[in-house]
Amino acid sequence: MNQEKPKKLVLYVAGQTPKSLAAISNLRRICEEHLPGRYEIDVVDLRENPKLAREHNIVAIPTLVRELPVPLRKIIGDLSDEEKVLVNLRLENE
Amino acid sequence: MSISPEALADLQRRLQEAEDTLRAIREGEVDALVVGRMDQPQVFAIGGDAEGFRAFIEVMDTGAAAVDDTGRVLYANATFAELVNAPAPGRALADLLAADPAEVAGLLADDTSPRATLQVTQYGPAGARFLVVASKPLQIGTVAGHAITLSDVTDRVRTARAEQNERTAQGILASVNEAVLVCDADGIVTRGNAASRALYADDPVGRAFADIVPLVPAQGGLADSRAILERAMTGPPVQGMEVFAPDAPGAKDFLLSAAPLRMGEGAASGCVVTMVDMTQRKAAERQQLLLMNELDHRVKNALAMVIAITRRTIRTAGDLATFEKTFTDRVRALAATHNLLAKNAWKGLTVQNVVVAELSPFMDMGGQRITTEGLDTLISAEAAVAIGLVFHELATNAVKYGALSSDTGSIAIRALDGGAEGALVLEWRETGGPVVSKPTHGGFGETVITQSLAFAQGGGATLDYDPAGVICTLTLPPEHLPAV
Repeated sequence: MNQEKPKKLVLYVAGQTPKSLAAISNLRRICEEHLPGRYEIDVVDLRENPKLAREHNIVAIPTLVRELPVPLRKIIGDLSDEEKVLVNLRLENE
Repeated sequence: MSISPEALADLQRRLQEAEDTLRAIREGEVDALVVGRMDQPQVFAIGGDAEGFRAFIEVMDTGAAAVDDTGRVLYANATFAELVNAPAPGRALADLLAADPAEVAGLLADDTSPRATLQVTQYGPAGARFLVVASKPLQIGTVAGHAITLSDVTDRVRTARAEQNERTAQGILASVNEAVLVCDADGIVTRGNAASRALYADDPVGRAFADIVPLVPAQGGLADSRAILERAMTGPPVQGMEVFAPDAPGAKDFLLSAAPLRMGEGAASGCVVTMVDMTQRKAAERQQLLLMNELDHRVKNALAMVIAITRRTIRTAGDLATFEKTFTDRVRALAATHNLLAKNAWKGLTVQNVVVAELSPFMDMGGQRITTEGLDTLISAEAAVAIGLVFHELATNAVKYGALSSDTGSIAIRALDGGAEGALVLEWRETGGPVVSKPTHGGFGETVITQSLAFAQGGGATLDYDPAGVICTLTLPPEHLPAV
Protein backbone atom coordinates (compact mmCIF):
# COMPACT_ATOMS: atom_id res chain seq x y z
CA MET A 1 0.00 0.00 0.00
CA ASN A 2 2.84 2.37 0.81
CA GLN A 3 4.20 1.97 -2.70
CA GLU A 4 0.89 3.00 -4.24
CA LYS A 5 1.27 5.94 -6.60
CA PRO A 6 -0.63 9.13 -5.78
CA LYS A 7 -4.06 9.39 -7.25
CA LYS A 8 -4.48 12.34 -9.53
CA LEU A 9 -7.95 13.81 -9.13
CA VAL A 10 -9.52 16.61 -11.14
CA LEU A 11 -12.68 18.20 -9.74
CA TYR A 12 -14.73 20.28 -12.13
CA VAL A 13 -16.81 22.98 -10.44
CA ALA A 14 -18.86 25.98 -11.53
CA GLY A 15 -17.75 28.90 -9.40
CA GLN A 16 -19.45 28.95 -5.98
CA THR A 17 -22.60 26.97 -6.67
CA PRO A 18 -23.76 25.06 -3.58
CA LYS A 19 -22.99 21.67 -5.17
CA SER A 20 -19.56 22.86 -6.26
CA LEU A 21 -18.70 24.04 -2.75
CA ALA A 22 -20.09 20.88 -1.20
CA ALA A 23 -18.07 18.73 -3.64
CA ILE A 24 -14.83 20.56 -2.82
CA SER A 25 -15.24 20.21 0.95
CA ASN A 26 -16.48 16.60 0.71
CA LEU A 27 -13.57 15.56 -1.51
CA ARG A 28 -10.97 17.18 0.74
CA ARG A 29 -12.45 15.55 3.83
CA ILE A 30 -12.64 12.09 2.27
CA CYS A 31 -9.07 12.25 0.94
CA GLU A 32 -7.65 13.49 4.24
CA GLU A 33 -9.40 10.73 6.13
CA HIS A 34 -8.86 7.81 3.76
CA LEU A 35 -5.94 8.65 1.44
CA PRO A 36 -3.62 10.82 3.52
CA GLY A 37 -0.56 11.85 1.45
CA ARG A 38 -1.62 9.76 -1.52
CA TYR A 39 -3.61 12.13 -3.63
CA GLU A 40 -3.36 15.26 -5.74
CA ILE A 41 -6.40 17.41 -6.30
CA ASP A 42 -6.78 19.86 -9.14
CA VAL A 43 -9.91 22.00 -8.91
CA VAL A 44 -10.98 23.36 -12.27
CA ASP A 45 -13.51 26.20 -12.30
CA LEU A 46 -15.39 25.90 -15.57
CA ARG A 47 -17.11 29.20 -14.96
CA GLU A 48 -13.77 30.90 -15.44
CA ASN A 49 -12.71 28.73 -18.36
CA PRO A 50 -15.55 26.69 -19.85
CA LYS A 51 -13.36 25.29 -22.61
CA LEU A 52 -11.52 23.12 -20.13
CA ALA A 53 -14.66 20.96 -20.07
CA ARG A 54 -13.61 19.48 -23.37
CA GLU A 55 -10.61 17.62 -21.97
CA HIS A 56 -12.75 15.21 -20.02
CA ASN A 57 -15.97 15.81 -21.90
CA ILE A 58 -17.70 17.27 -18.83
CA VAL A 59 -21.44 17.91 -19.08
CA ALA A 60 -22.73 18.05 -15.47
CA ILE A 61 -21.11 19.96 -12.64
CA PRO A 62 -19.72 19.07 -10.21
CA THR A 63 -17.86 16.08 -11.65
CA LEU A 64 -14.80 14.37 -10.21
CA VAL A 65 -12.38 12.69 -12.62
CA ARG A 66 -9.83 10.17 -11.46
CA GLU A 67 -7.06 10.67 -14.01
CA LEU A 68 -4.58 8.36 -12.40
CA PRO A 69 -4.33 5.51 -12.03
CA VAL A 70 -5.91 4.54 -15.28
CA PRO A 71 -8.55 3.69 -16.32
CA LEU A 72 -10.10 7.10 -15.99
CA ARG A 73 -13.22 7.26 -13.79
CA LYS A 74 -15.92 9.91 -13.34
CA ILE A 75 -18.10 10.55 -10.31
CA ILE A 76 -20.94 13.00 -10.87
CA GLY A 77 -22.47 14.96 -7.96
CA ASP A 78 -21.44 16.71 -4.76
CA LEU A 79 -19.59 13.62 -3.42
CA SER A 80 -21.78 13.48 -0.30
CA ASP A 81 -22.07 9.69 -0.66
CA GLU A 82 -18.72 8.74 0.85
CA GLU A 83 -18.98 4.99 0.12
CA LYS A 84 -19.70 5.62 -3.54
CA VAL A 85 -16.71 7.98 -3.78
CA LEU A 86 -14.34 5.49 -2.13
CA VAL A 87 -15.50 2.64 -4.35
CA ASN A 88 -14.78 4.69 -7.48
CA LEU A 89 -11.45 6.04 -6.26
CA ARG A 90 -10.00 2.63 -5.48
CA LEU A 91 -8.93 -0.02 -7.96
CA GLU A 92 -10.33 -3.48 -7.58
CA ASN A 93 -7.00 -4.87 -6.31
CA GLU A 94 -6.51 -2.13 -3.65
CA MET B 1 -20.55 -4.17 -40.02
CA SER B 2 -18.19 -5.46 -37.42
CA ILE B 3 -17.02 -3.66 -34.34
CA SER B 4 -13.86 -4.30 -32.40
CA PRO B 5 -14.08 -5.39 -28.76
CA GLU B 6 -12.16 -2.21 -27.71
CA ALA B 7 -14.60 0.02 -29.57
CA LEU B 8 -17.52 -1.86 -28.03
CA ALA B 9 -16.08 -1.43 -24.55
CA ASP B 10 -15.59 2.30 -25.23
CA LEU B 11 -19.18 2.61 -26.42
CA GLN B 12 -20.45 0.81 -23.36
CA ARG B 13 -18.37 3.10 -21.07
CA ARG B 14 -19.70 6.21 -22.83
CA LEU B 15 -23.26 4.92 -22.61
CA GLN B 16 -22.81 4.26 -18.92
CA GLU B 17 -21.39 7.73 -18.46
CA ALA B 18 -24.33 9.29 -20.33
CA GLU B 19 -26.78 7.36 -18.16
CA ASP B 20 -24.95 8.45 -14.99
CA THR B 21 -25.09 12.06 -16.12
CA LEU B 22 -28.83 11.90 -16.85
CA ARG B 23 -29.52 10.21 -13.51
CA ALA B 24 -27.46 12.81 -11.64
CA ILE B 25 -29.34 15.65 -13.34
CA ARG B 26 -32.69 13.99 -12.70
CA GLU B 27 -31.91 13.37 -9.01
CA GLY B 28 -30.62 16.88 -8.41
CA GLU B 29 -27.02 15.88 -7.72
CA VAL B 30 -25.62 18.60 -9.94
CA ASP B 31 -26.43 22.29 -10.09
CA ALA B 32 -24.63 23.39 -13.30
CA LEU B 33 -24.38 22.16 -16.86
CA VAL B 34 -21.97 22.76 -19.70
CA VAL B 35 -24.09 23.70 -22.70
CA GLY B 36 -23.57 25.07 -26.19
CA ARG B 37 -21.28 24.11 -28.97
CA MET B 38 -18.15 22.24 -28.11
CA ASP B 39 -15.94 25.03 -29.39
CA GLN B 40 -17.87 27.66 -27.38
CA PRO B 41 -19.19 25.96 -24.29
CA GLN B 42 -21.02 27.90 -21.57
CA VAL B 43 -21.76 27.06 -17.96
CA PHE B 44 -25.41 27.26 -16.99
CA ALA B 45 -26.41 27.17 -13.26
CA ILE B 46 -29.54 25.15 -12.48
CA GLY B 47 -31.97 26.67 -9.99
CA GLY B 48 -30.62 30.18 -10.28
CA ASP B 49 -27.28 31.67 -9.52
CA ALA B 50 -26.34 31.77 -5.83
CA GLU B 51 -23.62 34.36 -6.40
CA GLY B 52 -25.93 37.23 -5.50
CA PHE B 53 -26.83 35.61 -2.20
CA ARG B 54 -23.20 34.96 -1.43
CA ALA B 55 -22.21 38.57 -2.20
CA PHE B 56 -25.06 39.78 0.00
CA ILE B 57 -24.01 37.82 3.10
CA GLU B 58 -20.39 38.92 2.63
CA VAL B 59 -21.31 42.52 3.36
CA MET B 60 -23.54 41.74 6.34
CA ASP B 61 -22.32 42.93 9.77
CA THR B 62 -23.81 39.96 11.57
CA GLY B 63 -22.43 36.47 11.13
CA ALA B 64 -24.20 34.85 8.17
CA ALA B 65 -23.91 31.49 6.46
CA ALA B 66 -25.76 29.12 4.21
CA VAL B 67 -25.91 25.44 5.11
CA ASP B 68 -26.94 22.63 2.81
CA ASP B 69 -29.51 19.93 3.45
CA THR B 70 -26.95 17.84 5.38
CA GLY B 71 -26.18 20.66 7.82
CA ARG B 72 -22.79 21.55 6.27
CA VAL B 73 -21.79 25.14 5.76
CA LEU B 74 -21.66 26.19 2.07
CA TYR B 75 -20.89 29.87 2.48
CA ALA B 76 -20.03 31.92 5.53
CA ASN B 77 -18.98 35.51 5.85
CA ALA B 78 -15.94 36.74 7.77
CA THR B 79 -17.98 37.70 10.84
CA PHE B 80 -19.41 34.19 11.04
CA ALA B 81 -15.91 32.65 10.98
CA GLU B 82 -14.74 35.10 13.63
CA LEU B 83 -17.68 34.35 15.92
CA VAL B 84 -17.20 30.56 15.73
CA ASN B 85 -13.38 30.90 15.82
CA ALA B 86 -12.89 28.66 12.78
CA PRO B 87 -13.09 28.60 8.99
CA ALA B 88 -16.60 27.41 8.41
CA PRO B 89 -17.15 26.20 4.78
CA GLY B 90 -17.38 22.45 4.47
CA ARG B 91 -17.85 21.87 8.22
CA ALA B 92 -20.99 20.74 9.94
CA LEU B 93 -22.80 23.55 11.72
CA ALA B 94 -23.18 21.30 14.80
CA ASP B 95 -19.36 21.02 15.01
CA LEU B 96 -18.91 24.78 14.87
CA LEU B 97 -21.38 25.72 17.58
CA ALA B 98 -20.88 24.97 21.27
CA ALA B 99 -24.37 23.57 21.53
CA ASP B 100 -26.17 20.28 21.93
CA PRO B 101 -26.14 18.65 18.45
CA ALA B 102 -29.79 17.76 18.92
CA GLU B 103 -30.63 21.42 19.41
CA VAL B 104 -28.71 22.35 16.24
CA ALA B 105 -30.55 19.59 14.39
CA GLY B 106 -33.80 21.08 15.66
CA LEU B 107 -32.70 24.42 14.30
CA LEU B 108 -32.27 22.86 10.84
CA ALA B 109 -35.41 20.76 10.97
CA ASP B 110 -37.25 20.79 7.67
CA ASP B 111 -40.40 22.37 8.97
CA THR B 112 -42.45 25.34 8.07
CA SER B 113 -41.57 27.46 11.09
CA PRO B 114 -40.50 30.81 9.73
CA ARG B 115 -37.51 31.34 12.01
CA ALA B 116 -35.90 29.18 14.68
CA THR B 117 -33.44 30.54 17.23
CA LEU B 118 -30.98 29.10 19.70
CA GLN B 119 -28.76 30.82 22.24
CA VAL B 120 -25.20 29.49 22.59
CA THR B 121 -22.14 30.46 24.59
CA GLN B 122 -19.07 30.31 22.37
CA TYR B 123 -15.62 30.34 23.98
CA GLY B 124 -12.67 31.83 22.13
CA PRO B 125 -9.47 33.80 22.64
CA ALA B 126 -11.51 36.82 23.76
CA GLY B 127 -13.38 34.77 26.35
CA ALA B 128 -17.05 33.82 26.36
CA ARG B 129 -19.34 35.22 23.69
CA PHE B 130 -23.10 34.94 23.82
CA LEU B 131 -24.60 34.29 20.39
CA VAL B 132 -28.15 34.04 19.16
CA VAL B 133 -28.31 31.60 16.26
CA ALA B 134 -31.24 32.06 13.92
CA SER B 135 -32.22 29.78 11.08
CA LYS B 136 -34.60 30.08 8.19
CA PRO B 137 -35.21 27.62 5.33
CA LEU B 138 -33.58 28.78 2.11
CA GLN B 139 -33.46 27.39 -1.41
CA ILE B 140 -29.90 27.83 -2.66
CA GLY B 141 -29.71 26.77 -6.27
CA THR B 142 -30.88 23.18 -6.23
CA VAL B 143 -30.18 22.78 -2.53
CA ALA B 144 -32.93 23.04 0.09
CA GLY B 145 -30.78 24.43 2.87
CA HIS B 146 -30.97 27.04 5.58
CA ALA B 147 -29.80 30.60 6.00
CA ILE B 148 -28.08 30.99 9.35
CA THR B 149 -27.31 34.21 11.19
CA LEU B 150 -25.22 34.68 14.32
CA SER B 151 -25.90 37.75 16.44
CA ASP B 152 -23.34 38.63 19.08
CA VAL B 153 -25.39 39.62 22.13
CA THR B 154 -22.44 39.49 24.54
CA ASP B 155 -22.63 43.17 25.42
CA ARG B 156 -26.37 43.00 25.90
CA VAL B 157 -26.11 39.88 28.11
CA ARG B 158 -23.26 41.37 30.15
CA THR B 159 -25.14 44.61 30.59
CA ALA B 160 -28.23 42.71 31.72
CA ARG B 161 -26.14 40.63 34.12
CA ALA B 162 -24.41 43.72 35.46
CA GLU B 163 -27.78 45.35 36.01
CA GLN B 164 -29.05 42.22 37.72
CA ASN B 165 -25.91 42.09 39.90
CA GLU B 166 -26.37 45.74 40.72
CA ARG B 167 -30.00 45.14 41.70
CA THR B 168 -28.94 42.14 43.81
CA ALA B 169 -26.20 44.16 45.52
CA GLN B 170 -28.66 46.99 46.18
CA GLY B 171 -31.17 44.47 47.53
CA ILE B 172 -28.61 42.93 49.86
CA LEU B 173 -27.45 46.33 51.05
CA ALA B 174 -31.00 47.50 51.62
CA SER B 175 -32.05 44.39 53.52
CA VAL B 176 -29.19 44.15 56.01
CA ASN B 177 -29.81 45.67 59.41
CA GLU B 178 -26.24 46.86 59.81
CA ALA B 179 -25.18 50.23 58.52
CA VAL B 180 -23.06 49.63 55.41
CA LEU B 181 -20.97 52.37 53.80
CA VAL B 182 -18.83 51.75 50.72
CA CYS B 183 -15.92 54.15 50.28
CA ASP B 184 -13.57 54.73 47.36
CA ALA B 185 -9.77 54.86 47.66
CA ASP B 186 -9.99 58.51 48.77
CA GLY B 187 -12.37 57.70 51.60
CA ILE B 188 -15.36 59.24 49.81
CA VAL B 189 -18.64 57.41 50.39
CA THR B 190 -19.93 55.94 47.13
CA ARG B 191 -22.82 53.98 48.52
CA GLY B 192 -24.75 53.76 51.78
CA ASN B 193 -27.76 51.70 52.76
CA ALA B 194 -30.85 52.88 54.62
CA ALA B 195 -29.41 51.70 57.94
CA SER B 196 -26.44 54.05 57.44
CA ARG B 197 -28.80 56.95 58.17
CA ALA B 198 -28.29 55.93 61.80
CA LEU B 199 -24.78 57.34 61.45
CA TYR B 200 -25.47 60.35 59.28
CA ALA B 201 -28.96 61.72 58.82
CA ASP B 202 -28.45 63.05 55.28
CA ASP B 203 -27.37 61.28 52.10
CA PRO B 204 -23.76 60.23 52.76
CA VAL B 205 -22.87 59.61 49.10
CA GLY B 206 -20.18 61.96 47.87
CA ARG B 207 -19.07 62.99 51.37
CA ALA B 208 -15.81 62.03 53.08
CA PHE B 209 -16.45 59.22 55.56
CA ALA B 210 -14.10 60.78 58.12
CA ASP B 211 -16.02 64.07 58.00
CA ILE B 212 -19.54 62.74 58.32
CA VAL B 213 -18.86 59.89 60.75
CA PRO B 214 -16.25 60.97 63.31
CA LEU B 215 -15.44 57.99 65.50
CA VAL B 216 -13.78 57.51 68.86
CA PRO B 217 -12.52 53.94 69.33
CA ALA B 218 -13.61 52.53 72.70
CA GLN B 219 -10.32 50.76 73.32
CA GLY B 220 -6.98 52.21 72.18
CA GLY B 221 -5.43 51.29 68.82
CA LEU B 222 -6.65 53.12 65.74
CA ALA B 223 -7.05 56.79 66.45
CA ASP B 224 -10.02 57.90 64.34
CA SER B 225 -12.18 57.36 61.25
CA ARG B 226 -9.34 58.28 58.88
CA ALA B 227 -6.97 55.75 60.49
CA ILE B 228 -9.65 53.06 60.39
CA LEU B 229 -10.20 53.54 56.63
CA GLU B 230 -6.45 53.60 55.93
CA ARG B 231 -6.00 50.36 57.83
CA ALA B 232 -8.96 48.74 56.04
CA MET B 233 -7.49 49.55 52.62
CA THR B 234 -3.86 48.67 53.30
CA GLY B 235 -3.56 46.39 56.28
CA PRO B 236 -5.53 43.45 57.56
CA PRO B 237 -9.29 44.01 57.86
CA VAL B 238 -10.62 45.74 60.96
CA GLN B 239 -12.89 43.30 62.77
CA GLY B 240 -15.30 43.92 65.61
CA MET B 241 -13.89 47.20 66.91
CA GLU B 242 -16.06 48.99 69.46
CA VAL B 243 -16.43 52.64 68.52
CA PHE B 244 -18.31 55.66 69.79
CA ALA B 245 -19.92 57.95 67.22
CA PRO B 246 -20.56 61.23 69.06
CA ASP B 247 -22.30 62.92 66.09
CA ALA B 248 -24.64 60.04 65.21
CA PRO B 249 -28.27 61.17 65.34
CA GLY B 250 -29.49 58.21 67.38
CA ALA B 251 -27.48 55.40 68.91
CA LYS B 252 -23.82 56.18 69.41
CA ASP B 253 -22.26 52.86 70.41
CA PHE B 254 -21.33 50.67 67.42
CA LEU B 255 -19.32 47.56 66.57
CA LEU B 256 -17.30 48.40 63.45
CA SER B 257 -15.79 46.12 60.80
CA ALA B 258 -14.01 47.37 57.70
CA ALA B 259 -12.51 45.39 54.82
CA PRO B 260 -10.86 46.29 51.52
CA LEU B 261 -13.07 46.35 48.43
CA ARG B 262 -11.39 44.38 45.67
CA MET B 263 -12.83 44.29 42.16
CA GLY B 264 -10.87 41.37 40.73
CA GLU B 265 -7.08 41.24 41.08
CA GLY B 266 -4.89 44.06 42.29
CA ALA B 267 -4.97 46.69 44.98
CA ALA B 268 -8.12 47.62 46.87
CA SER B 269 -10.27 50.16 45.09
CA GLY B 270 -11.85 51.22 48.36
CA CYS B 271 -13.32 49.65 51.44
CA VAL B 272 -16.59 48.50 52.93
CA VAL B 273 -17.47 49.64 56.45
CA THR B 274 -20.19 47.89 58.42
CA MET B 275 -21.40 49.16 61.77
CA VAL B 276 -23.71 47.32 64.16
CA ASP B 277 -25.78 49.24 66.69
CA MET B 278 -24.55 48.20 70.15
CA THR B 279 -27.16 50.13 72.14
CA GLN B 280 -29.12 47.08 73.25
CA ARG B 281 -25.96 45.14 74.03
CA LYS B 282 -24.58 48.03 76.06
CA ALA B 283 -27.89 48.37 77.90
CA ALA B 284 -27.83 44.62 78.63
CA GLU B 285 -24.28 44.93 79.95
CA ARG B 286 -25.31 47.81 82.20
CA GLN B 287 -28.32 45.87 83.44
CA GLN B 288 -26.11 42.86 84.15
CA LEU B 289 -23.68 45.00 86.13
CA LEU B 290 -26.56 46.50 88.06
CA LEU B 291 -27.96 43.06 88.85
CA MET B 292 -24.57 41.80 89.97
CA ASN B 293 -24.22 44.75 92.37
CA GLU B 294 -27.78 44.23 93.57
CA LEU B 295 -27.13 40.53 94.13
CA ASP B 296 -23.96 41.31 96.06
CA HIS B 297 -25.92 43.74 98.23
CA ARG B 298 -28.73 41.27 98.87
CA VAL B 299 -26.39 38.40 99.72
CA LYS B 300 -24.62 40.60 102.23
CA ASN B 301 -27.97 41.63 103.70
CA ALA B 302 -29.12 38.03 103.89
CA LEU B 303 -25.90 36.94 105.64
CA ALA B 304 -26.18 39.84 108.11
CA MET B 305 -29.75 38.79 108.80
CA VAL B 306 -28.69 35.17 109.39
CA ILE B 307 -25.94 36.28 111.77
CA ALA B 308 -28.47 38.41 113.71
CA ILE B 309 -30.96 35.52 113.82
CA THR B 310 -28.22 33.21 115.08
CA ARG B 311 -27.14 35.53 117.88
CA ARG B 312 -30.63 36.32 119.11
CA THR B 313 -31.77 32.71 118.89
CA ILE B 314 -28.77 31.49 120.91
CA ARG B 315 -29.61 34.00 123.64
CA THR B 316 -33.26 33.00 123.93
CA ALA B 317 -33.18 29.26 123.26
CA GLY B 318 -33.04 27.17 126.39
CA ASP B 319 -31.43 24.14 124.75
CA LEU B 320 -29.92 22.94 121.50
CA ALA B 321 -33.11 21.28 120.29
CA THR B 322 -35.10 24.51 120.73
CA PHE B 323 -32.31 26.45 119.02
CA GLU B 324 -32.31 24.10 116.08
CA LYS B 325 -36.05 24.30 115.55
CA THR B 326 -36.39 28.05 116.05
CA PHE B 327 -33.29 28.87 114.01
CA THR B 328 -34.31 26.58 111.15
CA ASP B 329 -37.84 27.99 111.05
CA ARG B 330 -36.59 31.56 110.96
CA VAL B 331 -34.07 30.87 108.20
CA ARG B 332 -36.81 29.05 106.26
CA ALA B 333 -39.05 32.11 106.60
CA LEU B 334 -36.23 34.17 105.17
CA ALA B 335 -35.74 31.62 102.35
CA ALA B 336 -39.49 31.58 101.55
CA THR B 337 -39.53 35.30 100.86
CA HIS B 338 -36.28 35.01 98.87
CA ASN B 339 -37.75 32.23 96.76
CA LEU B 340 -40.80 34.31 96.09
CA LEU B 341 -38.68 37.29 95.15
CA ALA B 342 -36.44 35.20 92.88
CA LYS B 343 -39.47 33.81 91.05
CA ASN B 344 -40.69 37.32 90.44
CA ALA B 345 -37.24 38.62 89.44
CA TRP B 346 -37.06 40.63 92.63
CA LYS B 347 -40.03 42.78 91.83
CA GLY B 348 -43.78 42.74 91.48
CA LEU B 349 -44.69 41.12 94.83
CA THR B 350 -47.87 42.03 96.72
CA VAL B 351 -48.38 41.82 100.48
CA GLN B 352 -50.77 38.95 99.78
CA ASN B 353 -48.00 37.00 97.99
CA VAL B 354 -45.72 37.35 101.02
CA VAL B 355 -48.46 36.42 103.50
CA VAL B 356 -49.32 33.27 101.58
CA ALA B 357 -45.64 32.26 101.29
CA GLU B 358 -44.91 32.78 104.97
CA LEU B 359 -48.14 31.53 106.46
CA SER B 360 -48.78 28.49 104.29
CA PRO B 361 -47.42 26.07 106.98
CA PHE B 362 -49.71 27.68 109.56
CA MET B 363 -52.68 27.81 107.23
CA ASP B 364 -52.57 23.99 107.19
CA MET B 365 -52.97 24.10 110.94
CA GLY B 366 -55.41 27.01 111.05
CA GLY B 367 -57.48 26.33 107.97
CA GLN B 368 -60.10 29.01 107.46
CA ARG B 369 -59.05 30.77 110.62
CA ILE B 370 -56.60 33.03 108.87
CA THR B 371 -58.32 35.65 106.69
CA THR B 372 -56.85 38.44 104.56
CA GLU B 373 -58.36 41.60 103.11
CA GLY B 374 -57.05 44.31 100.79
CA LEU B 375 -53.48 43.02 100.55
CA ASP B 376 -52.99 43.50 96.82
CA THR B 377 -50.61 46.43 97.14
CA LEU B 378 -47.21 45.99 95.46
CA ILE B 379 -44.22 46.33 97.78
CA SER B 380 -40.44 46.61 97.22
CA ALA B 381 -38.16 43.59 97.53
CA GLU B 382 -36.60 44.97 100.67
CA ALA B 383 -40.01 45.50 102.30
CA ALA B 384 -41.07 41.98 101.23
CA VAL B 385 -38.11 40.39 103.08
CA ALA B 386 -38.84 42.45 106.17
CA ILE B 387 -42.59 41.86 106.44
CA GLY B 388 -42.04 38.20 105.52
CA LEU B 389 -39.91 37.80 108.64
CA VAL B 390 -42.46 39.78 110.74
CA PHE B 391 -45.38 37.61 109.63
CA HIS B 392 -43.33 34.48 110.32
CA GLU B 393 -42.62 35.63 113.88
CA LEU B 394 -46.23 36.65 114.46
CA ALA B 395 -47.49 33.29 113.19
CA THR B 396 -44.93 31.37 115.28
CA ASN B 397 -46.02 33.23 118.40
CA ALA B 398 -49.70 32.69 117.54
CA VAL B 399 -49.12 28.94 117.33
CA LYS B 400 -47.18 28.89 120.60
CA TYR B 401 -49.20 31.29 122.71
CA GLY B 402 -51.92 33.01 120.72
CA ALA B 403 -54.90 32.47 118.48
CA LEU B 404 -53.59 29.35 116.77
CA SER B 405 -52.75 27.66 120.10
CA SER B 406 -56.44 26.99 120.72
CA ASP B 407 -59.19 25.56 118.57
CA THR B 408 -61.25 28.72 118.53
CA GLY B 409 -58.87 31.54 117.78
CA SER B 410 -58.54 33.27 114.44
CA ILE B 411 -56.31 35.82 112.73
CA ALA B 412 -57.33 38.66 110.39
CA ILE B 413 -54.74 40.43 108.29
CA ARG B 414 -55.91 43.53 106.42
CA ALA B 415 -54.88 46.89 105.06
CA LEU B 416 -56.09 49.87 107.07
CA ASP B 417 -57.21 53.13 105.54
CA GLY B 418 -55.60 56.44 106.23
CA GLY B 419 -51.85 55.88 106.19
CA ALA B 420 -49.96 59.15 106.57
CA GLU B 421 -48.60 60.59 103.27
CA GLY B 422 -49.45 57.54 101.21
CA ALA B 423 -47.97 54.98 103.60
CA LEU B 424 -49.41 51.47 103.67
CA VAL B 425 -50.70 50.39 107.09
CA LEU B 426 -51.32 46.69 107.74
CA GLU B 427 -52.99 45.15 110.74
CA TRP B 428 -52.54 41.65 112.23
CA ARG B 429 -55.32 41.01 114.67
CA GLU B 430 -55.75 37.82 116.68
CA THR B 431 -59.11 37.00 118.34
CA GLY B 432 -60.69 34.09 120.15
CA GLY B 433 -57.46 32.72 121.60
CA PRO B 434 -56.26 32.50 125.19
CA VAL B 435 -56.14 35.69 127.24
CA VAL B 436 -53.02 37.60 126.33
CA SER B 437 -50.61 39.18 128.73
CA LYS B 438 -47.48 41.13 127.91
CA PRO B 439 -44.39 38.89 128.14
CA THR B 440 -41.94 39.58 130.89
CA HIS B 441 -38.97 39.95 128.52
CA GLY B 442 -38.77 40.60 124.78
CA GLY B 443 -37.40 37.70 122.75
CA PHE B 444 -35.89 37.84 119.29
CA GLY B 445 -39.39 37.52 117.87
CA GLU B 446 -40.46 40.79 119.34
CA THR B 447 -37.20 42.45 118.29
CA VAL B 448 -37.70 41.22 114.74
CA ILE B 449 -41.29 42.41 114.68
CA THR B 450 -40.65 45.85 116.04
CA GLN B 451 -37.37 46.56 114.28
CA SER B 452 -37.57 44.84 110.89
CA LEU B 453 -39.47 47.67 109.32
CA ALA B 454 -37.19 50.29 110.77
CA PHE B 455 -34.92 49.88 107.70
CA ALA B 456 -36.94 52.59 106.00
CA GLN B 457 -37.63 56.05 107.27
CA GLY B 458 -41.27 56.31 108.21
CA GLY B 459 -41.60 52.51 108.45
CA GLY B 460 -42.15 50.50 111.61
CA ALA B 461 -44.33 48.16 113.60
CA THR B 462 -46.08 48.27 116.96
CA LEU B 463 -47.19 45.33 119.09
CA ASP B 464 -50.24 45.58 121.29
CA TYR B 465 -50.77 42.74 123.79
CA ASP B 466 -54.50 43.22 124.00
CA PRO B 467 -56.03 40.59 126.36
CA ALA B 468 -58.45 39.62 123.55
CA GLY B 469 -55.59 38.93 121.18
CA VAL B 470 -52.31 40.32 119.88
CA ILE B 471 -52.60 43.28 117.50
CA CYS B 472 -49.65 44.21 115.34
CA THR B 473 -49.70 47.32 113.15
CA LEU B 474 -47.12 47.61 110.36
CA THR B 475 -46.39 50.76 108.38
CA LEU B 476 -44.60 50.85 105.01
CA PRO B 477 -43.56 54.26 103.65
CA PRO B 478 -44.68 55.14 100.07
CA GLU B 479 -41.18 54.79 98.58
CA HIS B 480 -41.47 51.03 99.17
CA LEU B 481 -44.78 50.86 97.32
CA PRO B 482 -43.81 50.82 93.63
CA ALA B 483 -46.41 51.98 91.16
CA VAL B 484 -48.13 49.23 89.17
